[in-house]
Amino acid sequence: MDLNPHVGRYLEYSKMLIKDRFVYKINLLLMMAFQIMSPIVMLFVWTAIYLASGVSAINNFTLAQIITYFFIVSAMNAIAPNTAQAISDDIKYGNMFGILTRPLSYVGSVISYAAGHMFVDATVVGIPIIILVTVLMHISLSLYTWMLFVAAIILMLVLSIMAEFLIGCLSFFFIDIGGVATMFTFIMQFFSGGLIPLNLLPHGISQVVYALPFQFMLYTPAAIFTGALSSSQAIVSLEIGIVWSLVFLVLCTAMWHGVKRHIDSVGV
Amino acid sequence: MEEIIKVNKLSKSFKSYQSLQGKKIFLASLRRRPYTKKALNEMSFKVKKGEIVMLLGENGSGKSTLIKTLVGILHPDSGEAEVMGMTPWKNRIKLAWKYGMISGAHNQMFWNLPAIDTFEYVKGLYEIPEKEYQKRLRYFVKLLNLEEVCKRQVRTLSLGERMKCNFVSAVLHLPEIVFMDEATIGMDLSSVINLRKALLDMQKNYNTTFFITTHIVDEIKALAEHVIIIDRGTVVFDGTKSALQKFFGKKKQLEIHFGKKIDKERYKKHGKVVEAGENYLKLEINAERLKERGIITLLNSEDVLDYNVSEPDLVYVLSRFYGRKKV
Repeated sequence: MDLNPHVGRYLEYSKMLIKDRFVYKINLLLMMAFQIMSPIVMLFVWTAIYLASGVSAINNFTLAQIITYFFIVSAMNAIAPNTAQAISDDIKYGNMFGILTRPLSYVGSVISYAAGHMFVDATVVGIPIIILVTVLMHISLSLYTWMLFVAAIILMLVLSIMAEFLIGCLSFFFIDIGGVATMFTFIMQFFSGGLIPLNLLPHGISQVVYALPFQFMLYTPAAIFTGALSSSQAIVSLEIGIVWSLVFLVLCTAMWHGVKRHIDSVGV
Repeated sequence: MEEIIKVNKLSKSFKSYQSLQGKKIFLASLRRRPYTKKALNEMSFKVKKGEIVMLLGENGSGKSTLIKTLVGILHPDSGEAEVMGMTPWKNRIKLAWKYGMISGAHNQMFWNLPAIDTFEYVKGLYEIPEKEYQKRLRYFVKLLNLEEVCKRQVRTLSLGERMKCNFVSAVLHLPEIVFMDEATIGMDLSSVINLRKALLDMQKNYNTTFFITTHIVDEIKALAEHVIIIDRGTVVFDGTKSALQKFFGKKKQLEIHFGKKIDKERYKKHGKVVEAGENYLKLEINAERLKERGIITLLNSEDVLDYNVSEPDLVYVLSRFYGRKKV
């Protein structure tokens, strides 16, 4: 395939990162095990809640839907790239030097990093979990819903990369962003429905949460898959998500122009 | 000859913080004082295509900052620079196609993968044709004894092995300029000699320009054509290696081997004693004094077994140079 040379050189970089990701296979297997164990814990918690409440559905969400929801959340968590930490490491350990002395843009290399990791994590963890839950929970989606689900995943990845990029760029000011990244992960998990499906939150809180961009990072794809969002609701949600992507793009561009001047002071 | 690097009044300062000492560990980490370091101070020089340039200077004199500015990573505060006709910090990516960079302070390989994977990556990145890639790889791998080394994970390699692999990954695309910032650190003697051979081959066959920083005097002796010495961000010497050695011009080194034990105090009247042993003396002496009767009598005396007059040793010249003002 005759690729645009600009894309080609970033693909070369992604290929190396994919190879690198497969070096420590035990780590990959453990990550896979964690992403499966995490929704199993949720299964026990929510089974207890449903049994104690004595109802078959909470806010129109059945126990089967809840279990499916958390498996999809787990798959999304696995696929979402951890670029903030990668940017921080590039700055902390001087890896940025190796990138900037090659004909590569730093932003392009971050996207290549994310693409490489997403490819591995989707192949090894994300897609197997989606297949597993589809088979075990007897999920039967229309082709249209599958397409909406895939679109929601793409939107989730785009927004996640940009959110992680914004957090990672803080390394240009603070070098070590471990604390900020942990706090961001917690906020993101709560507001994106990683801990509780957003449609189960009290009305006041859910109104706030729906006004934020985090919902697109976990809730939207999982809600489309479980049927918590109808096709028409999904379309509206995806449209709002695209607007948020443009807002994030502007923020990322502004952030990059701001931090470029700080490359000197971080000891490249 | 075409000028490949032109630097004119380049200046660059860094703002940073100095931690202040305190009795309490916690307070010590909070107490810090901002300071500004002038890394490059109106630096100017030119480099011709195909030259081997040695950039010399003490630690912290601005060598690495200069190289990072010339490859476009750092932006200067003022001044101009042109590398292969381009302003580096405005054309970093375009420039990166045409140069190679090796730094002793940075790993430029994929840490968890065998070195050969980085070489393959370089092939893909710079679109080197397969046949040409294999030919160049065979040459460098054989020359630097990397046949087995390049199959091992980079993280398991010794510093010297890693530097050799870094060098190969930086020159596989046959760049027009190779920047080497203390690139031979940790290398064994035979590898250093072979690396010099590779440099001279590339210079001869492809007219490659090398811009090298090092503290190893043997390297300067073996390779330097053009020497630039910097001190506190300013060029204090810019000329050929022989011009550098002749800089102290009228000074010569007189080595004398005696047939008996000597008292070095007796010879101080002839010149500055640079080195002395039981039966050995090295003097720094003005050239015209070699014709003086006192010296001639001394050298012809029965006590003297042998003597040699030479240009001052490079180590000695450099040590005298560091810390001097512009000349």
